[in-house]
Amino acid sequence: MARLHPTSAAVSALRSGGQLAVFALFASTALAGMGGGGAPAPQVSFAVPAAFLLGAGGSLARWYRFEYEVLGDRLVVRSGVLSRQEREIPLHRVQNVDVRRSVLQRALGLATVTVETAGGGSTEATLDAVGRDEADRLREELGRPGRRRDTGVAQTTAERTAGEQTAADRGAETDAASAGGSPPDSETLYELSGRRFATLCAVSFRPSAVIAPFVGASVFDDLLFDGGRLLVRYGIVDVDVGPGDVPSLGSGDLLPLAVVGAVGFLLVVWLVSAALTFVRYYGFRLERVGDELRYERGLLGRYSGTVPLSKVQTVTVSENAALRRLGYASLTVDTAGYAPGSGGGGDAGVETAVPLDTRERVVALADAVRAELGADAEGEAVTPEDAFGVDAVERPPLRARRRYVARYALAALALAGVAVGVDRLAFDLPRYLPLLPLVGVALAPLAGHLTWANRGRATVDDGLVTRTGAIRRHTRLVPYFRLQTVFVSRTVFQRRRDLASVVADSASSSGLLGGDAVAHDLDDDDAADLRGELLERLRESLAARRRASHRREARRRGPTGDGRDAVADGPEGDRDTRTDADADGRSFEWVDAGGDDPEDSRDG
Amino acid sequence: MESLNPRVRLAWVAGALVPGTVILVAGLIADRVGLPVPPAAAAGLAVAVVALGLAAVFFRYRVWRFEVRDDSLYLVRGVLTRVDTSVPYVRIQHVDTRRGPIERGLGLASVVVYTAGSRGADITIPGLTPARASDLRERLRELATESEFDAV
Repeated sequence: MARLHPTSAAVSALRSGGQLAVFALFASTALAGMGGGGAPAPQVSFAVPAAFLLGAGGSLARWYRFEYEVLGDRLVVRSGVLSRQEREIPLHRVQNVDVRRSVLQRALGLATVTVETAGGGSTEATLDAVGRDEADRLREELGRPGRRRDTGVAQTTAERTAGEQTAADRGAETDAASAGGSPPDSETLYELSGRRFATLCAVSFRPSAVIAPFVGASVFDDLLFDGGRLLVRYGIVDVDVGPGDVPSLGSGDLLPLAVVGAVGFLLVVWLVSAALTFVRYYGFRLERVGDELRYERGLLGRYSGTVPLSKVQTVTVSENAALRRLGYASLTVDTAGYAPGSGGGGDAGVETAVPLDTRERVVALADAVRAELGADAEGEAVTPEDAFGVDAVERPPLRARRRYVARYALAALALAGVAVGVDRLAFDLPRYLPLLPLVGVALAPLAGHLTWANRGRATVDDGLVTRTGAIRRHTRLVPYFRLQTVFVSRTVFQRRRDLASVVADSASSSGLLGGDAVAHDLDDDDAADLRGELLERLRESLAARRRASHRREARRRGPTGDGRDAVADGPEGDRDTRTDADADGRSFEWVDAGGDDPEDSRDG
Repeated sequence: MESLNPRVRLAWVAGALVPGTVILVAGLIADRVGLPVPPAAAAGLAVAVVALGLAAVFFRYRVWRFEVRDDSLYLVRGVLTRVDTSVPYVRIQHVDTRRGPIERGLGLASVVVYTAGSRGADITIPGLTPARASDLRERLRELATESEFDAV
């Protein structure tokens, strides 16, 4: 069993000791204050070092009692000072392995390794922190279970437990290719630099940047005040200084002030967005190592992680309006790994594979991922049908467009109604302001058309393609064999026009964040047909994968000829398609490798 | 297509009475404390809310149907938004039967079907007799197991 890096023990000892010491300082000063004594009591000088020792000691004890090891096909983590916990994670269940290195950790040569499996409320194992080389070794070892070909009971048991058939096979191929344990070929698929990086910073919007102007306004209020004075001096805004030096604005000045404010607000948001993007994606590179994707990014903290291609749930090509105009797009692949909001470093759930590239190259990479997924069924890579092309999808019927127009027009009318109501009953708004939303009514046809034009769906050979979003357009592919449940839903308004939406649910973690694959507003009959087709394709696709995995299994076992195992693995093997993401989500299937290890005590 | 046991409406009615009762009680308390809330208005609102709830119960019962098909469990439900759900048996992770206090009082049970999906991770069929519920659970379990072995 290995321990975490000693330096990390020192760091966390200092940190928790310091925290407790600070707390003790405050607490004892407060107590002394309550006692009414003038000079600090002698206990204070005693309590603070004691608290430090307590905190540091606790932290060291935790470090001493935290052990991990990769044993055969499992990662075993033992932890806990008073209540001991032992956790085993079968490696073929691992969805993602991420390595995070904060600024401090980079200075000290440390790295935090997190291991994600499907389901579960949180990250399954966090190693905080190990040495840099150890992190690389772990990622290597955890990321590719198939490469580790131990013989004997453990191996067979591992395969019985419904898992990484595909991964194992692919691993075997990779092994054969790079015989002798030499590291697998790594191929750089993508690097973000130069103009592309500048473009990305310029056009991407980070929601967290919206709070920046508010924070800035409170910090730099002097600056704002000076700016306001400039506005007054140049006569853009006219201020009457009333009695008591309270400036009052005429209603005519409200508009220029609002415009200046809005422009300033947007400018700050844009700048902060660009800065955040810069910090986040600095030095982004994507590599393909064997059968997994590996990314690396970050200016201050360095983040890297692996996404096994065989665990990919959905593939999404996204373009916002600005990117689309410039011919750029971004690519996201989803696994079932992350629980909502648990993603380290603020990238909850979704793995951005390519933040920005020309559309052709993004689609080419997406197709490569699809080919990889399809290869599990076919035995060889096939060129997938065009799924992300501009005209690849079928738009909703025309009456759906009427629905969108009506929806936007009604929303604008309602807003105007509210504004007029406020104007009449509560405040006197500037003259034409309450009627401003009526502009929205005029724009409704355009908005409705854009919404309609950017929606669509298609069924290609390997999956369902859905597209949605006028401002930020997502084209999402769900492979048929990843489908979980199919919903057909019709709201009251859709029923009026015989429309229905089809939701193809998969285990991908972006579904938890509202990133479902939804085919919006199909004709009611088409929706029913689509549902039937999806269910049928799911069945066929699973059967094909089953046969393929069977064949591969037979081929692999062929020479040594262990027919019993091949048969036994057959029906289990295909469970991988349903389980690798999922079954384990709710309850792990722990591998008991010949009983030489204690049972898991996750709940211990 | 199979519909639910009619007694399930009683369970739903009990649920529909809750928000109305809350409004009524809140209104009465506000009146007691001296806020300008006429008790009649609170009572009226409560009645309206309960009436809407009862109408929803009526329609929900009429809409709710389910069927054990060849390859998937099929359900139709929803008053305002109607949702047809197909759960392929291959995707069923496990199946529960559940009996809450109200359901036990009415002699009813629910079956909950779990998948690994992110959106429809659990799907509940309410309003079954306990016998039917355990039948259904066993049937679904069998179908889930079978579906893994067929088409090899």
